Amino acid sequence: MTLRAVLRIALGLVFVVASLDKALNASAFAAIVFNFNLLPDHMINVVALVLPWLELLTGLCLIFDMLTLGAAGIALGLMCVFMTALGLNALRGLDVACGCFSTDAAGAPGLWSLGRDAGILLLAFTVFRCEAIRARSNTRLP
Amino acid sequence: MRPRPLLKLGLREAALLIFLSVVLSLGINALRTDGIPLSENWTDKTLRALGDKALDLSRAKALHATAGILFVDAREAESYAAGHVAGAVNLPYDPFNPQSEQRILSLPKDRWLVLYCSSISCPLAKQMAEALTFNGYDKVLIMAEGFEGWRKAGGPTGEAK
Repeated sequence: MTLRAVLRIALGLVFVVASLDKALNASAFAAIVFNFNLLPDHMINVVALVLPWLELLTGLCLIFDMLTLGAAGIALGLMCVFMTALGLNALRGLDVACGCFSTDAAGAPGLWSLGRDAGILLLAFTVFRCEAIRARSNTRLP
Repeated sequence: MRPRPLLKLGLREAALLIFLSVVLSLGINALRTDGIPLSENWTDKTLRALGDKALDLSRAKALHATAGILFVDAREAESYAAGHVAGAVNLPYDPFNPQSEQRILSLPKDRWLVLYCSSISCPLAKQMAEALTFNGYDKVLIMAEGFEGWRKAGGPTGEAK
């Protein structure tokens, strides 16, 4: 197994693990999304429903190497969104539960969550670059 | 030189993944017995959940002028220093820190307490109210709209020196 595959599968596993509790407990996750104070009321439930499934499918695609370029792009995009949301709330001094890996209100402290997400963002960026290079070599340019 | 086919491929795959997530999540939610509605008024829901402890801004402003009411700011010290309800005391609350649990018990039991945090969506004031009620405090109110609402409503504010 190449290092590229190991990184891709590791990122996929992170996304699958992060999604499960949230996909099962949509109501609790919706409360966390509301606490982030970033979305209008009517969008909260839809985001809380779709986001965990998007994470789950993205993770599975990365693990099983399907739709990999799109999945790597989504993983990178999601990590940017999560970092922005956490960063904004840290700046505003809102100490809300992260909702990153579970719907438990006792999440990790803000700075630790930010540091951990920065690590995952770096991993997502690396995987996306590797996949873009691989897709380019596979794509027949006209 | 020519990234177009690559970009197109990536976007097509991403769009397919997003489409599948939407269909799966909404479909499964519709089938689940504990599914949630697609749209909800969360501000309303939060106020309702507070029941008779909820204090709206106009009542809060009227009470603020009354002697004997103590406003308690549950946010962190930095937020308090940047601006707070005039005359409020700062007791940063963290429900997972036993020291902070102990600290709030220094509040007087015989005065009406008005708890607030940053905005309608912050949980701290509500959590502090639950802890106080659990410890026998029965004169506890929550200004649900928080400091954000107070400032918008033009309530008197103070800044730390």
